[in-house]
Amino acid sequence: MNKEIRNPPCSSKEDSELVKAFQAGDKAAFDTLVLRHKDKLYNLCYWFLGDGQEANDSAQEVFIKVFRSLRKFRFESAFSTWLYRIAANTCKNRLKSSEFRQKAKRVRFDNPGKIEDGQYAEEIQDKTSSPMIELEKKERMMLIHKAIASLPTDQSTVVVLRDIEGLSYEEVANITGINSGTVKSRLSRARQQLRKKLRGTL
Amino acid sequence: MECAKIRDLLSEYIDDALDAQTKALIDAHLRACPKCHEELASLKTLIRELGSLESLKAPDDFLEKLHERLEPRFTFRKIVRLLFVPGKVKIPLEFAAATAMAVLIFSILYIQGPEKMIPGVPESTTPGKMTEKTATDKVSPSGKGAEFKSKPVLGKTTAERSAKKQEIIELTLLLEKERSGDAQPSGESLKVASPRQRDAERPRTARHEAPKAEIEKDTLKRERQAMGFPEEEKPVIEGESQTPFSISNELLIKVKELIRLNEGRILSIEYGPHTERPKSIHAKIPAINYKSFCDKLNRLAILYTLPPSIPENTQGTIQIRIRFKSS
Repeated sequence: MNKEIRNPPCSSKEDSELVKAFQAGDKAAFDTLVLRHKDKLYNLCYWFLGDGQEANDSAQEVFIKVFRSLRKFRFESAFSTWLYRIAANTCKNRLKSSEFRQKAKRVRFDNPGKIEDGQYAEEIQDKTSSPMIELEKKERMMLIHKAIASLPTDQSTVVVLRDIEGLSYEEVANITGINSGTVKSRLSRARQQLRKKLRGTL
Repeated sequence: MECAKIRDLLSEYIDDALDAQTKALIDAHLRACPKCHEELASLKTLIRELGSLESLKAPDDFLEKLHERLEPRFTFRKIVRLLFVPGKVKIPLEFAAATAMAVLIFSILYIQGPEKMIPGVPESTTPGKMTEKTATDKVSPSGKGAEFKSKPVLGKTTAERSAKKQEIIELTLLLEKERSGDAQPSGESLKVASPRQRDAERPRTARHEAPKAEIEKDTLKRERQAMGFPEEEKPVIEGESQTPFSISNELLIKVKELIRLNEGRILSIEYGPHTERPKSIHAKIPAINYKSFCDKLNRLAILYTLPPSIPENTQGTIQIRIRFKSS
């Protein structure tokens, strides 16, 4: 299982060129960066927060923060690493907010992608699948998310970045700001916890 | 190696993140321990499942909505740029504009304010009557009755009257002390007091505060003597009783006559609010006659202060206001 192959990251070099272009005054370069990373960022936010609308709001908030501080970006890390770090912190703060907690009490995660206007925010990539299979996928996603959400935040962050987003230990360490050893130990505990929680599901 | 330790390392074993020696130890343990082997298989299933989850896509209008959220910031920046950028040019201009506004507001508030608050300004020039002009044709020689009081006439602007007011020369004639049968049974002169009396009758504060004026007054007296004027102008008529009304009106008649003799013109006469005693007379005389007019006025009654001098080359007419002040 090689997530990097399944979900190849955007070229760091191209990102750097786009960032330089934006810093030189080309505002269209920012739009290109958004288009390149919006789906991955949305997916990440969804797995952190478990709600389509929340994920959309948070992903936009992340890009707004990026837009405001992109001129100060010094290329000390890859743009995607910097972007994910902002996303992880934004979602962590969102999870801590009382507004989110109150909403989480009201919303059941049995309809994860439903947003206010009745449209599903996310689209299942395999559109040839039957409704029954799609329903099963959604149910499985809901159960997995419920299990991830029940983990401590430091563990869920690591497992989402490593196992769902397919990032390397080093990238996870850079994004979360912890060393690789801690990443490995947290990941190990998170996986064991999830295995127990999802024993009957998988 | 114990099973618990092996299970902690299974995560890294799956990710192939262990060194060769540790990996060999785990391989050996897994061959001998079916429970740990089952654990490994279960973890691999979990990781495979997590890695095979469908990737969710952002809404199609994601970029559009993002632009909407960023747009106000662009607008705000545009406004800031319009107002303040470039700073080297626009900030000094804005500072200059703000300073000009401050000066304008200050001048409006400060210059107009005190003018309305001048203390001691006669009723005819108080703010409430600033928009009125006293009639000039309502002056009666007798100076009696309410019909002779100045009447307001609307017309001139405040600025014109303000300028006009500044040109008026103020003179004050000191009336003699009123005779009262009980208080002054001896019946002293009511016409003109002797120089010593006058000095004594002046307000102490005036004497103390203006010694220079006293010296000038003495000089004036000496000049009058040199011109042949008697020091005591009129003998006192023993037992004659004069009311304040008659004193001031008698003096008013003489002043009016004096104005006429100096080719002047009476503009208005102001009377007291409850009495019919004249308070002041406002007149216009040729500038060339001003000095002689003052000299003659000083013969009628004592001038409370020396008449202000005017430039010798003054042409045309000047306006004077003579106030009658009780001693």
